[in-house]
Amino acid sequence: MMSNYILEVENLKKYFPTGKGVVHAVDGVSFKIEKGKTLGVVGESGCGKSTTGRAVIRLLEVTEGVVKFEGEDISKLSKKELIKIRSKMQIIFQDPYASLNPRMTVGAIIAEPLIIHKLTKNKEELEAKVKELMKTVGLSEKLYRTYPHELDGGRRQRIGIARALSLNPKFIVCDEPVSALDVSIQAQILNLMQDLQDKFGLTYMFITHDLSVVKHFSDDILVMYLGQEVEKASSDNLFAKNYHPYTKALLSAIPSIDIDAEDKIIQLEGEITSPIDPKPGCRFSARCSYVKDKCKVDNPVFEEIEENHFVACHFAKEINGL
Amino acid sequence: MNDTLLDIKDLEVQYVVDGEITRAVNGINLKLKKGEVLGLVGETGAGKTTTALAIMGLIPNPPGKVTKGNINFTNSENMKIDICNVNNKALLDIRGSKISMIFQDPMTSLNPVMSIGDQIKEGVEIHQPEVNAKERAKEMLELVGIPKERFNEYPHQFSGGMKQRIIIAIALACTPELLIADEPTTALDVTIQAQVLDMMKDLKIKFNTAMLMITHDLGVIAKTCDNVAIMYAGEIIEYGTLRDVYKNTQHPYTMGLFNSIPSIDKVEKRLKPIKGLTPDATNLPSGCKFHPRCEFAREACREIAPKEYNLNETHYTKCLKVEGCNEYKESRVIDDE
Repeated sequence: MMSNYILEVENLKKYFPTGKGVVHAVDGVSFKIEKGKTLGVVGESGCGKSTTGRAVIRLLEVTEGVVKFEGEDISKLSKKELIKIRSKMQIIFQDPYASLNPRMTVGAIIAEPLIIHKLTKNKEELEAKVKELMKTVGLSEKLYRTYPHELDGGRRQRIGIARALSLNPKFIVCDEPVSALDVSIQAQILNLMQDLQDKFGLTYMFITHDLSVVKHFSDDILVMYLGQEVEKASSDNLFAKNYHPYTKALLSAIPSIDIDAEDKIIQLEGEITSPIDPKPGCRFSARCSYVKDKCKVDNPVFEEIEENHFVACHFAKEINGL
Repeated sequence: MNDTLLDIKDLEVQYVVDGEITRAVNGINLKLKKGEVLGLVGETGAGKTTTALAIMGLIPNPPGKVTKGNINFTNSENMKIDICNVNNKALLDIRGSKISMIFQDPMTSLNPVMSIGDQIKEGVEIHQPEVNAKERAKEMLELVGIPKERFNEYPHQFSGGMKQRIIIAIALACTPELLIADEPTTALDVTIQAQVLDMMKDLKIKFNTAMLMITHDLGVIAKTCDNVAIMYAGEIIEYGTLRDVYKNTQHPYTMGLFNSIPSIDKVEKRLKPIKGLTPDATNLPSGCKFHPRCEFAREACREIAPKEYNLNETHYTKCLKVEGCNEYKESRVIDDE
């Protein structure tokens, strides 16, 4: 029987050797994404969220761990085998200004994956398919022969989405797809992505640092800190009750637009520490206000504290009076 | 008593490139009192940064030019000058000492080959020769939460949040009366943003500096500002106290902005974005510049440019519908072909 999960990641690690030591960008992350659902991955710069996103579709070689796509471990596939499976998994990049080839027309950019995978028989069919994709993402046919620099950020991001959709993928990694856009355009793109998910039954891994966007968009949310999982729960659940001190601080730091809301920011001391050859112990311990001796020595285990709610903190129960 | 610090009257700024005129700022009126924090909100291309540069007298000419209006700045000695009509020498005296600016990107606005201490010292040496600049620079470092022992270190040795603190230290070293902050926290992570905003608030109280906070983040504005001005296509389309604009929102564009933000507190299935795109500043729509995107637009909106309409003493907006004028009531809804 086929499992309900399109993606299963077990103990994923990605290290980058550098002159100063080994950067532990992703350090033992495990999660599953159900078909047709959206997993939001949040965290601050340098927490390894983008590296995770790239590793699960093997844009980066995995250092250790298993990445199963539709039940098949893709972490060790050869290049040839990978190409076949790649058409089912796509990525939308953060910066619509940098992720489109400036010397290719809009039509050519969207057509490229179709040509590589030989999905259309002739030129006419190709052009028709590209125009259909443009319509799907709300781009006017007139733009077929224009170049990316002639278009604004919102339209460029639509090109990126059309390109990702061209091979009828099942799974799309969205790496900060709206953070470079203005709010009014951001809302347009988010709505479009939601419509596409409903229409094609897509599964998303949605990477962002914007917590209000991730809440709006995701079914489940994974919070990362320095390459590790900190807390995971359903979207509503996580915002209603969160157990990890880092999640608490992160959520409290979002400036609310409600001017009558009480100011209850939990101020974190200092900044994210270095991911180069990290010391044992909880990686958040240097900034945590509940820190105890144990935190500096033992690695916390990412465990279920309530049904479908996972936390990596030695003292999660005590802090939250459970 | 007159406590107006900055009084912008009917300001217009244009850029001319290849004979094409970009109308970046189109008749702005804005007042800022001593010690007040004013938020200037708008999307890319609304003219926020151009307004800030005009106040600093930094519009690059060519291609840019202040084509109309004035910016009156009254300093603590009650000396009044019009920034649009003074010579360069006078501008140099004000810049960095009376008015200073924090730029958006902390990664690129520091000099990489100068120690951070020297960068903080520089302005003090120029504007306040009587002060011991090195001591002042060290004080400023401590104030923004950086140990003074790091005086001789270089920008690359600091993280993003620290760099922004250094920039704030530079901007405040001469205790200016007006601080312009252009997206001061946009490049920072939320937990760091919270630290920096908190620190700016404390420093503002300590020095009683007036602040013009430019951002597209309505949450940041809610946290920091007394008054808010919403800009669209080079005009201020709504202005009022924080409460006026957030709790009694009038202009359809402002409403659209609020509806576009996913809420943390509420559950909503779908966002309600504003249709269309911000207009091209070389070819602005006639009448109300927002009418092509406005759900309430009628034919009158295409012809009549709305004026400032006061809802109360502190709150105004530019919208024919809110105004309830007869031309609007009597005209038909625009049916788009």
